[in-house]
Amino acid sequence: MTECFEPNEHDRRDIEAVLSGDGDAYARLVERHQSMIAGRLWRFTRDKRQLEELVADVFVEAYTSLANYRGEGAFSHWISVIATRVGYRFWKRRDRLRIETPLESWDGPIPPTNDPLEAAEAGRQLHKLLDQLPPRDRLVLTLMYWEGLSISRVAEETGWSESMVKVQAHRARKKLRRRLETLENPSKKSAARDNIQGDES
Amino acid sequence: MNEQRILQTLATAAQGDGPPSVDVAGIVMRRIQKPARRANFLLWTYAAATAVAACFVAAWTAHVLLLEENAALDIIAPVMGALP
Repeated sequence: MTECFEPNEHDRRDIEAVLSGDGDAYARLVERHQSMIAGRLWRFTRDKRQLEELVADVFVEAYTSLANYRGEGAFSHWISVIATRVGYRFWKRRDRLRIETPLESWDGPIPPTNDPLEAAEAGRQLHKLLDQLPPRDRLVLTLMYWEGLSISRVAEETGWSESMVKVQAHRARKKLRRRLETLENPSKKSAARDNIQGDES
Repeated sequence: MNEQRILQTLATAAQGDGPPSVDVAGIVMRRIQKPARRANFLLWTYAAATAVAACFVAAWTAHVLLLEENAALDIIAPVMGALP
């Protein structure tokens, strides 16, 4: 994933205008970056209404802390960190309700394709697979595999150290392996579920 | 197939999976303007309450001063009347 880390001139001008009290300038920033933020948050929810709410949450949160943006990196980079944290909080809130998608209906991985419909199906499957994990594990695997971020970028997005990211990714993969094993051997199902919940507590 | 391979395969296949289009500019602007309007309302309420309190204090002070003036006249008048 390539990304520009240099501050964009339009963004810089609009941010200065917002800080001087020009409300319309913030609407321009939202319009410029909302697709990118929706792309990131699409990894966190597949529901369009929830997606819109989360994208709006990101921009409201960014507005309230806009004075803290120092303009050293790209605004898109700064706001994507906020998006990751908003998405993670959403998972944690949802996790308290313990809504699970049964893995029994998982059909196995789809091979790489250029067909958007097939890609959407692969995205749905990946979402469902990662949904089996607690939010912390899910976050690290989503950012590393789905978003294709490097260890250092994941550390930046999550606020963890790089070694913490590696340890968390290792644990997450281990939990996922256990979950997948239950598909091959259903008798392991309850043990795997207990292990995942035990590791989380 | 191990879990890492499955993740990589699915992630590669899902590269073209994009979100539906969203337009939240209106929602965001309404949400960030609401607290500002509320803050303005609170400011005006505070200013109005302060003005009413100041008027009340001024009226009360004037009332007390007038009473004192009347009392002084009540004392002075008989004294003045007794003078030759």
